Formats: sequence, C-alpha cells, structure tokens
Amino acid sequence: MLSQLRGELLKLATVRTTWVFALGTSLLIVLVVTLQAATAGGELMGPLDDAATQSALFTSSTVSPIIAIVFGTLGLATELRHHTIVSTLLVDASRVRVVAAKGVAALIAGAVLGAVAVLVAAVAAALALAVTSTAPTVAAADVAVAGLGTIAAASLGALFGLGVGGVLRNQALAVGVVLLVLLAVEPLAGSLLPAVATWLPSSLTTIVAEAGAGTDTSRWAAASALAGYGVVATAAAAVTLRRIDLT
Amino acid sequence: MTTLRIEHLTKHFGDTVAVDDLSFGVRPGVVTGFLGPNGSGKSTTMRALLGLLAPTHGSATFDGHRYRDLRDPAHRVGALLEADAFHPGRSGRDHLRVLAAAARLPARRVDEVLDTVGLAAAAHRHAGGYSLGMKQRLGLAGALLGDPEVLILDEPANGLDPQGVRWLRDLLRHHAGHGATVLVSSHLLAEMALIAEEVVVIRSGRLITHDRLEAITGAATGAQVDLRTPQADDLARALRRAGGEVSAHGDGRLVVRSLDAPSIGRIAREADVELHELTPRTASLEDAFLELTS
Repeated sequence: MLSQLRGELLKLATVRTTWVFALGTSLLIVLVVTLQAATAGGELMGPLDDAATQSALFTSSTVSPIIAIVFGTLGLATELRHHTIVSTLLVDASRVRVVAAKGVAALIAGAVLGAVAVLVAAVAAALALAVTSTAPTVAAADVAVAGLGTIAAASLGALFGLGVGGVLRNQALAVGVVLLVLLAVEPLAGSLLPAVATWLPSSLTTIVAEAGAGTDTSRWAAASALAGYGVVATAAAAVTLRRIDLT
Repeated sequence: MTTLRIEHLTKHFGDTVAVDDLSFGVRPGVVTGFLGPNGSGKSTTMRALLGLLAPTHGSATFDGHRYRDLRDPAHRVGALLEADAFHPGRSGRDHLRVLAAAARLPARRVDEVLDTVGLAAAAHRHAGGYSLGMKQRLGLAGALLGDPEVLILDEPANGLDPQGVRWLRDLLRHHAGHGATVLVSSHLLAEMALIAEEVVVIRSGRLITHDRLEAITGAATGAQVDLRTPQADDLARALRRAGGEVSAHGDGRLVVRSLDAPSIGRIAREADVELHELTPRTASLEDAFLELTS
C-alpha cells in the first residue's frame, strides 16, 4: 500500500496538470485578494483597517476546496482515459487497494493544494496591508483556524472528486458534471431549498473552510458530512473499477 | 520457472463470444507464438490471463495461481498490451519511475531498462511525442522493469524498425534461453517464424492448433519435397503407389507432396532409382496460418 501510494504521488508530481492547478489556484487567489482590497468597504481603494475586511482578505483561499474537487476528478478518470490504469493494475492487481492508494494520494494532494492556497492568500493579504500601511486587526488565531479548515476542506474535496471521476470514468464528463453541480445545481438548490443545499458538497467545503460562519451547521458536522461524501464516492469508484473489464 | 495454463477459458461480451472454451499451456524455456486473425480473441485471452477482465468460465493461471493472487506480480510477470498506454504529458523516464516506485524496484532499474531498450536519449521527452516504435520500446521497458520470468507481449514488433525487430528477437530468445516463459502475439508471421518455437493458433476464440512450429508448417499442404533423378518416370510411379502426389517439371525434376523426404529416399532405394537431389521444403508459417484459419 505504501509503495502504491508513492507511485500515486509520483504520478501527480510528474504531470503538468498538477502544477497548472496549483499555479492557477494561486493566481486566482491573488486576483481575489487584489479585488477585495481594491473595493473594501464598498469604495475604490477604501480603508482596510476593519477586522472583517482583513478576515475576508486572509480567507480568500476558501475557493481552493472547490478547485480541489475538480482536481480530484482527474485522479481515476485520467488513468482510464489514457489506459495507464492497465500498467497500474499490472503492478498491483488489487483494484480496491489501488483505489485506496489513490484516495490517500488525493487527500494529500488536496491538502497540499489547500495549503498553497492558504499561504498565497496570507502573503497576498499581508502585502495588501503593507502597501496600504494598515495595521493588522484580525485575530491571528481566527486566520489560522480558517486556514486549517481550508486545508481540510480541500483535502476532503479532492477525495470526493476522485470518487466521482472513478464512478463516471469519463474525464470530460466527470469534470463537466462536477462543474455543473458546483456552479449551477448547488446555487439553484440554495435559493429553492436552503436547508438541503447546506449539505451539498460546495456548501460543506465553505462551512469547513470558514469555520461555519454564517450558518447553524457546525464545522465538525460539515467536515463529517464531506468526509462521508468522499468515502462513499471513493468506495463506489472502487466497486465500479472492480466490476469493469479493461479491454 | 513458470508454466501458464489457459483452461476452458470462455469470455462473453454481451451476445458476443470472444473466447470459447479455450485451453492450452505455455511452458518455460521456449518462445510461444500466439496467432489468430483480427478479433480471434488473442488480446482478450492475454487480458484474462493478466486479470484485467473476468472470464465468463474457465481459468487462466501462472503455476496454478491467478494473476491477482501472485505476490509482487511485476517481479514475476512483464506484459506489454498497448503501445500507447502512457500519459502523454509524462516523460518516458517518469512513466517508468512511477511503475518502479509502485513495484518497490530501485530507481537505477529504470535507467537500466531504458538502456536495454535503447531509449535513454529520449527518456526525458514527453511520451506523447514518441513515435510508435519508441512507444513500443517504452512499453517493453515497462515489461522488463521487474526482470520477470514470464513475458506476455501483444504485438510487440509493431512500429519497430528492422534493427528494433532484430533486437526484440534476440531479447525474446535470450529470455527464453534462460528459462523464461514467453507468450507473444504478432501479425508479422515471417518474424514470428524466426522467433517462436511453439505456436498456438486460434480462430473465433477457439483453439485451432498448438504445436511446434516445424510440425505446423510441415503439416500444411504447402509442405513438399523437391527431387531430381534421371529415372523420373520410374520414381514417379513408385511414389504414386506409395500415396504420394507427384508432379513432373521436366529435366528429371519432381515435386512430391504427402510423403516426407526419408520415405521418398527409401522408396527410391527399393525401386533402384538414382537420386541427384532430395530437398524437403516446408510451407511458410504464413501458408500454414492461412490454411488453418481460412
């Protein structure tokens, strides 16, 4: 299992896609911080000394779990697309063990993506305060907790994405379905059935990342639900992989 | 040394029968060619052997064990099934590093097999930019990575240049000579005739024949004996009495089918006929294959 995990992590490190996701996420967060800083308080180049404004800057990384879900869908779907799953299964014929190794690799990769996002957001926010000569008023502990939440949400989000990709098996279809659910279905559900929408993946990642701010759902409940989604989706992917013939 | 056994293997895809009650064995120390027309079930059989698809009935085993039950299978079995089963954005070297890491093989083994297959110079290029021959070499490198005692190769000579084909031939013979079990499918029948010592022929998923290469080509109707004698008419009569099919080509030349060279020699001696030439000519593997699968 450890050797399989090493192989899976090496797979992620040796393709450009992984670095494109990390770079793209970083650039997106820099853009978000810049725009938030430029429009703080509802005015152009407004003051940044308000704690809520600073908190928003430092937690700009909360978008990263959504990106991690999309990244996760590629884990199994890409292997099936390029038929590299054959060489993977020739090394370890246990399909359940292969999916388990991929699941752990997705948790690690998601966490790293979240950590990069948290770091970039922190640096960008600190730069924004430095450039505007604003003293920090946000509590460091709150920023740290939100950062840990973001890392956890990104990690669990990548696991969920892996499972979805493994069940759908088609890379383009998996990414398309995930984007459709995250960007269209969930917002629609949020306006029509807000109680249900809270428990959908995107909402859960937001709650975990932002420590449940603004909702009645606790961070731990949201994290448990997100972990449940990830485990169920990945188990479904393992069952799917076990049942298919690789022709 | 490992023996492969396919026993009553049957595989259905919906209403299509890809492999139909197929049984044969592959023994160590020889290269066994696996032949059949397109869609005859060769790849399906190989994939069933490697645990990539589940048989409908029957079994495919290595010394009685299914592939998925082998401990460290990459150390025992090397396989090449598809020429382009790589992530196009990953370098050839990284592709092998991934396999080596998962199989608990040392990183130096990657450079060794890259050297073996002649791909060291292109190892850092993306596999997506490789030619078909280079992809085949990378696939072969993957198969050789664990220094396995069993090689299962599906069309390994596709896309290889003449030097590559000769290299592959030497490689397979070398492995078999050291006790490896080698099962290789190919449409290049002339090449297969140079590599294989035993041949399995299937058609529509069913076994047509499994025998030594010489036996298969010798049994084909293309097999004949050319001879030359100053007493062609006398010998032709004697050979026909013994069941031979004889055709005369002038100048004392006869072509005989249905009798082998030792029998013809004995008949000539008994008929007190002088022989100036006696040359057995076997059918080509292509002749035999077309006859068996038509």
